[in-house]
Order: sequence, then structure tokens, then C-alpha cells
Amino acid sequence: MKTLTKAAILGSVLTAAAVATPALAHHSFAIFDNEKTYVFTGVVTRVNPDANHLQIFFAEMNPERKNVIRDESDKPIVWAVEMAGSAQSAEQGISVNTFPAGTIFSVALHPLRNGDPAGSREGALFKCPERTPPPAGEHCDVVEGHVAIGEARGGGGDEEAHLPKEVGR
Amino acid sequence: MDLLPIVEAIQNTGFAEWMRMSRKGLPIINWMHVVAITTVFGTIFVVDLRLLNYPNASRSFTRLSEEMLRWTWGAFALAVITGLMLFAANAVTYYNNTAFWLKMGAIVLAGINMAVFQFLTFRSVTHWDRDRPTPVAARAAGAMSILLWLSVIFLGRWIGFTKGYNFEVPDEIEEDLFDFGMRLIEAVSGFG
Amino acid sequence: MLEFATWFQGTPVSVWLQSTLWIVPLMQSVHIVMIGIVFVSILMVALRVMGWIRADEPFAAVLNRFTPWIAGGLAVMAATGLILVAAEPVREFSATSFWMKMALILVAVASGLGFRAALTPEKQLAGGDNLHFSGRSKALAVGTVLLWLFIIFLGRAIAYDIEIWGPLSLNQRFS
Repeated sequence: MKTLTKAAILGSVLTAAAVATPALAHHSFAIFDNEKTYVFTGVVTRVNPDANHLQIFFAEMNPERKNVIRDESDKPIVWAVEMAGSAQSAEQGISVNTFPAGTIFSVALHPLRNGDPAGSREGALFKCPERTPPPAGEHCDVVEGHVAIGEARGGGGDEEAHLPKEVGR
Repeated sequence: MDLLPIVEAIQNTGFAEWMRMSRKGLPIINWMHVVAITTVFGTIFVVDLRLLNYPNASRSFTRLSEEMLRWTWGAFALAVITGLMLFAANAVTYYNNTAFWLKMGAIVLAGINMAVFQFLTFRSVTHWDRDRPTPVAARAAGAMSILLWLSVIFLGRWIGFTKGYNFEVPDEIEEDLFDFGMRLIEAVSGFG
Repeated sequence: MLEFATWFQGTPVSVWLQSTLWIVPLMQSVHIVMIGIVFVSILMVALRVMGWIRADEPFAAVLNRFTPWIAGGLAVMAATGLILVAAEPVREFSATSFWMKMALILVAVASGLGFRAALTPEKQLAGGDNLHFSGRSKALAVGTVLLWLFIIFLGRAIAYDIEIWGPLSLNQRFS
């Protein structure tokens, strides 16, 4: 009976541990707050070509667009934006190769409800020309020679794509 | 020990790349993994229930477990192979995912539970092979096995709902960012 | 149908299911556990028809051992499945795999009930080793297992509808 009790305790601990893990659903994007839209211009730090949801990690640039924002210990503050899986993203032209570390780009995202610095992509990604940040307070979509990659959801007209307005940040 | 470089190397193999980019490969392997793991659970569940004397003790445990466990092992082998393939495709994501490591832990515990049963409890099987209730240790092993395999399935599903974000900036890129920031400042102040 | 799904997705019930983080993974896990129980129970009956396992036991005993688990498991799957559809109606209704899965479940359950009804008289069922199945029955048993494997595949494929069905995916207009 003792062993049975132990088994029960272990099972409960495992379950509790699993439930306590910060939960971020990816299936329905319900964990992302669609009421909020954050717009960033940042520098790519890495791309995780996840098969289910490709993630681009980036250090946000400061409003002057002269450097990336850093915390007290001088470390860049990194955000993640995730989107469709690798295969679909590659078809849109988004991959490890097209977004190498150091790429300056702008993106709108719906942030996680739990406050972690990550979100789901909204609309196109805007790539600045190499090593050319936008003017202070602006994003890559106004920089001469920028490239818009990936269509806006449900969109796809001929008019020039722009970043959506920031909401709730 | 930092395994991340190894994990990244796995994710960068041609095979992993193929898994990510093949549109039908991933769902098919995923399906085989589900079939394999549910078959492992379902077949071992029959054995576990027999250890708990369900539906009764009238069938020979030795025969029942022999007939079942060959399916369990076959399915487990398929689960491991397809699991490794799925891991390779998204190695970095899994490496940073707590639920994934808890699932691996639960599988190891299930293996230990099985080994303890096989090498200790099972030795006295002639006394309880049929028509007699199983000993407490056998019942405990059965209950434990059910709990652990349920955990494996729940944790496995939980992986898909938890993202292991890796926000760390690789050293060389951080240096690059720093240089880059300095250059930008210089360039801008040069104009000023 | 999709209009209904879109409307339902906005109702408080659906919104609550979507935004309560643990419901969908928990329901999916229970659903998968039941797949294990139902699929293996069907496999057991099929293997007995083949004569590969439990040949020392009357067929009726095997059937009685596993049928309640098949019926119970399917009932739980219907309940958890319903909750999952309520949580994400648009995702399910716009997946070709979902509709195919529903249709094939009807076919599989109907043929299962038909198989059970055809097994008469009960006396013959109790024949133990003496009950041998014809080649046709064995082929049907294998076919049934394959059908359920395909149903499981369709369930998994709901998440990959465009990848699997390409232009045949109902999901096109949303992509």
C-alpha cells in the first residue's frame, strides 16, 4: 500500500509540475491578446525555424534608432515574434537565411497575455536595407529600399503595405 | 553542461531541415507517433489492469503479458523512432521546453517501474500466475504504470501548448550588436 | 455552417473555453487516452478474429471483455470532441479532415454494430477454440483496424489541413 501511496504522490507532483509550467498555447492563438498590437523595430538575434511556428528573436531598437534597448546590466532586451511553420514561412520568404542575425526589421505583433516578451505576427514583416535603421521614431516601412515580406492576414491588395497602428502598449 | 550547441547541430542537419520543409512529412510522422504512443498505453493498460486483477484473475498473467508486450514493444520502438524524428525537426524548441523534459522523466520512471517489476516481483509469478489475486507489489506496479503512462500522454500534449522561448542573445551576436550600436552612434554624432 | 461556426466562436461559452488555458490541452489529452483504449480494444478483438491472441478464450469472452471499453471510450471521445469543437469551431469546420473524420466515424461505428449483430447465435460465440473465422471475416477485421488508423490520422491532420489537402482544403479561403 505504501508503494501505491508513493505512486499517487508522484503522479500528483508530475501533474502539478506540468500544470505549473507557464502555459502558452499555440493551437488557437488564444494566449495572444488580439486586442493589443505592438509595433517594433529591432535587430534579429536568432531565428528558431520551428516546424509548427517559426520564431524570430530580436533586440528592440531605442526610439532614436541609434542602438538597441538594454536592461540595467547592459543586456539587450529580446522579444520573439512567431508565425506560421517553417515550410509556410519559407514560401513567404521568411527563413534563417533571409533573416540573418543583425537584420533590421519592423513587425507588428499581438503580445502574449501572460506578459512574456513574445507575440504572434500581424501582417507583413518590413526589412530595412542592410545596416540602415529608420529615422528616429519611424519604422522600416518608410525607409527607402525596404522590403515587405509576407502578406497581411486576409489582405493582399495592390496598395503599398504598411504596419498597423499600435494599440494598447 | 550546455547541450544547446549539440541540439542546434541536430536541428541544422539536412534530415531535420527536410522534416520542417516537407509539408506532408511532419503530419504523417506526427500521426504515427500518436498511433504508437496510444498503442503503447492501450496494450500496457491491459497488462496493468490484469495486475490489478481486472476483470479477474482467471487468465494466465504470463501468457497475457507475453501476448500483449510484443505489441507494446513494437509500438514503443515506433514511438521512439518517430519521436526522435520530431525532436530533430524542432530540437531547440523541445530543448527549451519544460513539459518535454518532464515527459522524458516520466518515460524513464515508467521504465524503472517496469524493470523493478520484471526483476523482483515477477520472479514469484508461479504463485500468482492465475486464479489467485496478484501480490501487493504487482498491484502497485500496475497502478504506477497506468499513472506514469497517463502522465506521458498528458505531458506530451502539453508540449504543444508551452513554448520554450530562448531569449538569450548568442555571444558573438551580442558583440556584433554592441559594435553596431557604437557605429550607429558615431555615424549619427559625426553628422551632428 | 461556417457562418454558424464564426458566430459560435464569439459566444461567451466558446470564448470562455478558448481563454481558459488548461481546457483544450486537458480535453485533447483525455481524447488521446481514449484513442489508446478504444483503438487497442478494437485491435484486441481483431487479433482474436485472426487467432493471434487469446486463442484459449471463447470469442464471446474477448468480446465481452473489450466491448464496454470501446463503447465507453467512444462516448468519452464524443464528449471531449464536442468541447474541443465548441472551443475552436472555425478551425474544425474549415478543415476537410474534420468532415471526413466525422463521416468515417459514422461508417466505422455502423459497421461495428453490424458486426456485433451478425454474431449470432450466442451459442456459437461461446465455442472457444472451435470458432474459426472465415477469410472474409479476417479481411474485415484488418480493414476495421486500418479504418480506425485512418480516422486517427484525420484527427491529427486537422491541424495541418492545408498541408495535407492542398487545394481540397476547406481552409483556403481563410489563409
